[in-house]
Amino acid sequence: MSFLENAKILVIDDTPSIRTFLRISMTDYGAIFHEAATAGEGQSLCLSEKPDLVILDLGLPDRDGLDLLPEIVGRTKGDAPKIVVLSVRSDRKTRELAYARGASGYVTKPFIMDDLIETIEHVLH
Amino acid sequence: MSLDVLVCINGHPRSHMVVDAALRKLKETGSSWRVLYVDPTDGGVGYTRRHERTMRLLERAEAAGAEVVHLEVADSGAAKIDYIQACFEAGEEITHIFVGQIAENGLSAVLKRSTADKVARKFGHRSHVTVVPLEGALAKPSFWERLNLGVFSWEHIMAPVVAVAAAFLIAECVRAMLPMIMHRINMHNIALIFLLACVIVSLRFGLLSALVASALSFAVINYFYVVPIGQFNLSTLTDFINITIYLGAAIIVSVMGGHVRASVENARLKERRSRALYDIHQLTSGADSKHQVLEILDREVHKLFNMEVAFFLPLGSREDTLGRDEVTFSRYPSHSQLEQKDMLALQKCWQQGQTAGFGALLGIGSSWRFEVMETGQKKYGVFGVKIPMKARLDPGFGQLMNSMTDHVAATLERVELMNEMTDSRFREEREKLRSMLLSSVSHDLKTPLASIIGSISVLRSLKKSGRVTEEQEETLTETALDEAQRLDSFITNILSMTRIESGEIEFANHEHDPMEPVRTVLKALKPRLKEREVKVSGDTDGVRVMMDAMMTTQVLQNIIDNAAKYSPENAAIDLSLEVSDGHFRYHVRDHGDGIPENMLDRIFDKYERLNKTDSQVAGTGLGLAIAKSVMGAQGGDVTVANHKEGGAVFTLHFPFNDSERMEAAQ
Repeated sequence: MSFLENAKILVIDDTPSIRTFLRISMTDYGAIFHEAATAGEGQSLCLSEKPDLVILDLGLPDRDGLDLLPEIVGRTKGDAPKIVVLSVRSDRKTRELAYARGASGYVTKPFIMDDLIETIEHVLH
Repeated sequence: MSLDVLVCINGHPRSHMVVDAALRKLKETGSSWRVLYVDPTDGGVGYTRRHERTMRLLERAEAAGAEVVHLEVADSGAAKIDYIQACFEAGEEITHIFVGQIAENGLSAVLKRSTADKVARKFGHRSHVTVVPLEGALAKPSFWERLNLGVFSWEHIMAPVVAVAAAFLIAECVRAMLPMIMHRINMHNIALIFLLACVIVSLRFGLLSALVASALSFAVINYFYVVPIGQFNLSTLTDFINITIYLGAAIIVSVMGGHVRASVENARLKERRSRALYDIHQLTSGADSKHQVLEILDREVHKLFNMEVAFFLPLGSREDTLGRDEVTFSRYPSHSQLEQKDMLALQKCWQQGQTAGFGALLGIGSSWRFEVMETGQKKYGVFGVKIPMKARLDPGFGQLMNSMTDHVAATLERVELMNEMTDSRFREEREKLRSMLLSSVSHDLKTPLASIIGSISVLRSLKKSGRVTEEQEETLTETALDEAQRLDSFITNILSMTRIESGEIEFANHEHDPMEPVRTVLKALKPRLKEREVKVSGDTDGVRVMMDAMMTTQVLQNIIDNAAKYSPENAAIDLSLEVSDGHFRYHVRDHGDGIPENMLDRIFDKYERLNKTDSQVAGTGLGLAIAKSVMGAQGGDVTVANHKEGGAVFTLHFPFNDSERMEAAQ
C-alpha cells in the first residue's frame, strides 16, 4: 500500500495537460484526486473537500499563487493542508517567499514525476 | 585674520571668467580665497537660469577650497564696495581682488564709473585689483563710435550740397515772390531756412554730412546774404557775431541730429538682433541632438550676421612640429576653410579661453573672430564668424557675439545633459524589457516541456510497475505529443519574430486559392482541436489572393489556436472567407468571453504579454505580434473586435482586386 493511498490531493494548475498526467499518476497511487484550473475554483474546493495536500501552480489566470498560499493555510485552521508549489519560477526569491507563506515543498517545472512523488512523500511524513 | 584673494561676482553669465582668473593666480601662490556672490535677486529675464548656473560655479569654487559668501541685495555694485570696505575695517588683509567688468551702454556709462573701476580706485592702494573684462574688446562702444561715423560715401557728400542748394533756391524764391515784404525777409529768416536743411541732413544722413552742410551753408550765407554781398568779408561786428552764432547753432543741431539718427539706427539694429536671438532661442530649444543644434545655428546665425559662421568642437590634442599642444577640431559645417593664421587664432582662443581673431587682442591677422563656447562647467568648443573684407563692425557686434556664444554654450550643455538622461533611462528600460522577455520566453518554453517530461515520466513509472492500461498509455502519449507540437509552434513563432525583426524574412507573394492555407491549418491543428469544430463558410470560388502562403498559414494557425485557447472546451470556431470593397478577408470568431475593451488596441503589441508574467496560456502574445508584422508585410492588416453576440473576432485583411475575379468568373 502506497503512502498516497486514500490521501486527498487537490491540484490547482491552469495547464490541462499537467493536470491530466498528474491525475493519471496520483490515482494510480490510490489518491483521491481533485483538480482546479483557477485560484477561485481551487479555493472553494479547498474548503469543501478539505484536501491533505495541495499542489499549487503560481501563475494562475485569476490570481497569483503566492497570494493564494497564506489564504489556504489560514482559512483551514487545525487541519491545514500541506502545500507543494509547482512552478516555472526558479528564482531563489520566489522560492523563499513561498516557504515563508506556508509552502512545505517547492518543485520547479519541468520535472520528473518521481521527483514530485519524492517531495510529496517527504512533505506528508 | 588674513585673506589673500577675494573674488567678486554677480549673476553675469560669464562670472566663471573671474573665478578662473583667480584660480590661475592661486595656482601660483596657493593661498586662501573667498568668493563673494552678490545676488541681484532682480528676477529679471532669465534670472533663474543664471542663478542656477552661478550656484554650480560656486559649488565648483567651494570644491577648489574657496569660502563662499552669498549676499542678496538689489544694488550689487554698492554692496561689493561696502563688503570690501567692511573686510578691511575688520582687519582682514586682502592682497588680491578680482572683479569682472561688463560693457554698459548709454550716455550714463560714459559719465558713470563702473563698479570695477570704483573698486580699483578705492582699494587699489591697499591690494592688487585685477579687472577681468567679461565681454570682448569691441563690446564697449565709445560716444563717438555710437555716432556711426565710419559709414561714408559719395551720397553723404552730395546730400549736404544738394540740401544747401535747395535751401538757397527756396530762399531766393521767397525773396523773389515776396518783394513787398522784402524788408521783413532778412538774414535771420534766411538763416533759419539753411538751419532747417542742416537738421534734415543730420537726421537723414548722419553727423558728418550735417557738418558739411553746416560749413557749406555758413559759406553761402556769408557770400550771398551778408554785406558786402558777393564777398566772404564781413563789414560789421554784428554780422560777424550773427554768422558765428549761426555756425555754432548749425554744428550743435548737426551733432544732436546725428546722435538721434545713430540712436535710432542702433535701436533698430538691436531690435532686429534681439528678435533674431529670440528666434534662434526658440528654434534650438526644441532640438535634441548636438548636430541638430549646430545645423539650426549655422542656418540662423548665418542669416543674422550675414557672414560665414562655423562651429569647432574639440576632438583631441596632439603635439605640433614645435612640440606644443595642438587641439584638433571637428568643424561644422565641414566645408569651412581656415588659413594658417585663422588656425592659430582658433588654437589661441581655445587654449586661453578668450576672444581671438579679428578685432581682438589675441590672434591678430585672422579674418575670423573666435569666441569660446563655455559654461561654468565645461568648454564645449569655439564659435567662429568670418568677417568679410572691408566690413565695418558696429559697436554692438561684440556684445551680440558674446550673447550668441553664451546661448550656444547653454544650448549645447542642455542637449548634453538631456542626452545623458535619456541614455541612462533607455538603458534601464531596455534592461527591464530584456529580463521580462527572458522570463516570459522561459515560461512559454518550460510549460509545454513540463507537460511532456511529466507525461513521459509518469508513463515510464507506470510501465515499470506493470500496471499501465491501454487508455492511460494513449492519454499520456497524446498529451506529450500535443505539448510537443505546441512547443514547436512556439519556437517557430520566436524564430519568425526574430527573422521578421532583423529583416531576414522575404515574403514570396503569389496568387493562391485562399482555401489552401485553411486546409493546411485545419490538418495541422487536428490533434489539438480534437472534438472542436471549425465551421468554414463563404463563397470563394475562383478567387485568387496575392499572399505568402506559408506565412499566412502560420498567422491563421496562431489565430485559430488562440481562439481555441480562449473559448470553452468544444465550443465551435467560425471561420468565414469574404470578398468585399477591394479586400479579401478571413474572419475568425470564437465563442469565449471576448477581449476587454481596454486591451483591444494593445493586443498586437509584442510586449503586451510581458505584463502578465506566467499567468497566461503558454505561447500566446507573440503569435498576435507576428500576425501584425506578417500581414503588414503582405500589404494587409489584422484587426480585432468583439462580436455583438459574444466572443472575439479576428480579421485578416488582404488587398484584392475585384475585377480579376469577374474576369475569372467569365
